[in-house]
This record gives sequence, C-alpha cells and structure tokens, in this order.
Amino acid sequence: MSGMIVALAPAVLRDVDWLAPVRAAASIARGTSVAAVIVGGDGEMAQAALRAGAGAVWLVSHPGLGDQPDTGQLVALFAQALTQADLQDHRLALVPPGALTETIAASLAVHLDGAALGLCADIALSDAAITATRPAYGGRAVMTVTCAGRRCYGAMRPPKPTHSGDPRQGSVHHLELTEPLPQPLPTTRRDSHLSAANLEGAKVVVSGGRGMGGKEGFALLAELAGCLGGALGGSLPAVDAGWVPVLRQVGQSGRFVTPDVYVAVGISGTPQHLAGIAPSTRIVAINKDAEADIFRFAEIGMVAEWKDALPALIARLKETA
Amino acid sequence: MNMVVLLAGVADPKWPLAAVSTDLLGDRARNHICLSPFDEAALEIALKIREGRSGTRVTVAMAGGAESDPLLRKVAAYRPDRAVRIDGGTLALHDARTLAAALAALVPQLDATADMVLIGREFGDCDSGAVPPCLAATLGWRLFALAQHAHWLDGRLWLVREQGNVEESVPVEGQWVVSVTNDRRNRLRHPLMKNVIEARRMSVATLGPSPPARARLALDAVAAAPARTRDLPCRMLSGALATQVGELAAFLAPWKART
Repeated sequence: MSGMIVALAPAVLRDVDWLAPVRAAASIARGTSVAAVIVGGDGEMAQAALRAGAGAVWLVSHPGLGDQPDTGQLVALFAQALTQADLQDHRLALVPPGALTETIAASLAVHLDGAALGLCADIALSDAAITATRPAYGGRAVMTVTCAGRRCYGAMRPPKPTHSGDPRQGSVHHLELTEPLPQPLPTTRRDSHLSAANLEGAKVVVSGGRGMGGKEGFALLAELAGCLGGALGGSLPAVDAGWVPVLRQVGQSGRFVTPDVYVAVGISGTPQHLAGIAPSTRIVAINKDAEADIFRFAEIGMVAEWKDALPALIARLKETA
Repeated sequence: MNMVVLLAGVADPKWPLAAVSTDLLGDRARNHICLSPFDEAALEIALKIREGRSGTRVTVAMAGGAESDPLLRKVAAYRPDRAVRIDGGTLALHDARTLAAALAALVPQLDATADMVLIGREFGDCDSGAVPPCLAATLGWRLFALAQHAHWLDGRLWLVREQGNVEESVPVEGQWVVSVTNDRRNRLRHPLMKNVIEARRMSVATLGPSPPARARLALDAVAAAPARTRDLPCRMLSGALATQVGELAAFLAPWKART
C-alpha cells in the first residue's frame, strides 16, 4: 500500500505543539514521504516543518476561519485539505497529541472512512498494513492493532528533539480552501485566573497527590514551582478533590509531561500517574511513606511530611537566589 | 432534555491486572471492574442536569458482558429512569470507530427522543479518547469534548470546560455528544441505602447483541506493559530535616538557574 504520511498541524490553536505531528511522522517515515498541512501558519513555520522532517508543506487558509476556530471547523478544514489531489494519497494522518486535538483525528476517521488509532506509543508502516502500539488499562498494558487497506488517523508523541533540525529542501504550497465551514460553537470565554506556567515545555514540574490532604499544600507547591520557574501539576485524586484544576492533571488520563525534573509530593507512584511522565525525566519524591512506590522510580527521595519539607525547601531556595 | 449515559467500566486500578489478552470482554470478567472516574463524572453530570429541570430523563447503558451486571446495579441505585446493559459480545472494544458505530446504532433503542449522549472522555480499558468524537461524527451530532460541569441558567443548559487559562461555556441547543472529564464539581455522589438495596434485586435488561460489524482494526496482541525501572536505586536522603532540605535544594538549584 503506497501513500504518504500527513502531519496535521493546527498552528492556529493556542498552547498546542503544532510541530509535534511533523516530528512524529518523520520519526516513523523510513522512506515514506511526509507532508505537513499547517492551519494558521506562515513561511517561518513552513521552514520549521521542513527542518522537522516534512518533504512538502501546505499552508492552509480559509476566508471563514476566525482567530479561535473550534475543533469542528478544523475537522472540516483538514478534511477538505486531505481530499485535495496532492494529499488524497495519504495512508496515515497524525495530529498533535492532546485530549482536544485527538478528537480531530477521530472525527476525520469517520468523515474520511478510515480507522481511528487514538494516541499511539509507536506506529510502524509496512507495504501491507499500519501497525500501532498504544497503552491500555491505564498504561498497565500495551495493545497492538493493525489496519490493512484503510487510511488511519491518530496521534503519536514525537521523540524529544535533540537539535533544531538540519536545513532541508522541500516545497511550500499555499492552499486556500473555500468550502463553507460549520458554524463555530457559540462559546462564551472568560479568564479562569489560572495564570500559572503551562505544563507543556516546562523544565521543572512540581506535582502533588492525595497525600497533600487539601488545597493548602498546593499553594506551597505553586510557590515551589514558582521558585524553580516550573509548572504546577497534580495527580488524578488531587484533581478529583478539587485541589488543582483538571488542566494540570498529569498521568495516563491527563497531560504527558517531559520536564528535566519532576518533583512528586504526596504522590504514591501508580502506573497510571507515571504514564504521564517521560521516561527520561528525573523524579524527585517527597512522601511520608517510606514504602511508597514512587521511591522505586525516583532519583532522589525524601521521607518527610510535606508540611515540614516544603516551607523549608522554599526558604532554602529563596536564600540561594 | 433526554439523556443517554454510556458507561463501560474499567479494570479497577486498585487491583493488579489478573488477565490481559486479546479476549477483552473475557478479561473484564477475570479482572475486578469498577466505574472509571470519567464514567462517574458523566453519570453525575446527567443526574445534576436532571435535578435542574423536571421532565428530564436519564437512560444509563453499560457495555459489557454479565460481569457488568453488579456494576449496573450499583449505577441503578442512583435511580436513572432506565438502566440497561448493552451486550458486549459483538462489540469491537479495541476499535473506536467500529465501536462508536455500534453504539450510535443503539442510541435510538435506548431513547428515541434523546438529545444528549454523555460519555466519559475515555470509554473502557483501551485508553482511547477516540470513541466520543467518533460517536458524534457517526450520529451527526455536535461534540462538546472534555466537559467538566453543566448548569442551568435562565432556563438554558450550559456546558463548561477549562482550556488553558480560559473557561469556555456553550449553551445547549440541538443534539449533542458530550465527553466528560473528571472535576471536583462532578464527583459522583453516594446513593441512598434504600436505593442500593432495591437495585440489588433489580433484574438486568440487556440490549443487543448488535450485528457483528467488520472491524477496521485487527487486535493483534495485548500484553502487560514493561515495568518502568531505574538502573540505579533511589538516593534516599537522611539526617536532620535541614540537612535533607539542603541536599534537595542543591540538587534543584541548577534547574532554577537554567529556567
């Protein structure tokens, strides 16, 4: 089965690593051509996509596209792009990993009569089929699925970039689409006053779990994150309890984070939580339970009550500022 | 407003996995299953919506085999207007698009007047967020993904979620598939004991099985995930608290300098 891999890059969306599908596609291409379709991009972004491994870039525009398109509009736009003559020969299309962006891939699978792969750990293309491995049972198992003879739509976390990429030759095209887009959701937006740093791209993440016992400790965690120029995170039980917002949930069912250091406080270390932390990340654990599983995965461990450890640690870091 | 809540249940994370194989339905019976946080959140939002408007109906459907019946009885204790099991025997649990097509075909049988399907952002144990969008696209309904809360305001239902630093609210008109994520506002309440006892005696009605569909994905293998390990043991800090804190601060200081 021939056909290219298309990276669908919604650069128009805020807080989305739009280049991730290009890097993911390039990492699995092994000779298969890679095209990038960028919505809301410019020439500089096209060059970045070429450096990341795309052989051709399509910069897509639409007169009806606003500043904040919703995923329904992006599905329609990508579907239009993927049925253009130059792109319809795709066999795999990837979107950036993320709970909202992955809905774009799944919707495209229905609209373009393909298979929905979901978020994959790895994808392999052979002449006959596409084979994907992806987590199951909350990250406690790995599932392998194969699709033969159909287009596939999904997401894959790219390997961590080691350098900015070599300059590459490639073509850049402008594609103006005009078929009507669906009406955007009538969305009312307001500032949620959650202005702390984003988890994505943070070098340090400071996270709390059930062991924090309440919101009070999260104020200290946020302060520690601030000291380290990092971002605040939390485990699922902490989100459930309302101590930290859901957009800061780290784990199989939350965000996947790739910091240099992950400071886990009051977190037991379940597989579901660890599934949200990159294997290359160095973990620092503070937990009052010396038998907590998190210490099996941590580089440095401290058996202590957070109420004792955090104020002292914050004070020490401020001293050395 | 008539709602269908689709539930799947998951292998209880508090228990070790007793079985993983390509027999996904059989493994549900071999593992302890429970409602996922997303199942619970979807159910709670449906109950809250019903409380806010009389004449609102909630139909709950759980996909699975007979192992799901105790879980469905637990759900019945929340007094949905109807609770049924969708026979999982022919469902392609690993294939989001095919599964969504089967579920979509059953929605009219669950409630022909339904104008909202509530479903956890992940459905079952395949860790895939693809089922709700596939369901919405198959039904041709609008999708509101990652809902955290729903409330009535001036006779109108609003769905709420947070994206980045922005809270987004959307008024509900027409037919919607709503995928639900966990949030403090949708933690599942405790049922009344009398309802729990009554639900234990309930006979479970079953819908389906659906005609087997040709799956788009073949399930080749399911295996336990390789254990995450570290080559070196954790360096446990010791001594007085101040000493430990000093060592930890020294370890973290370079990152502070870098950021």
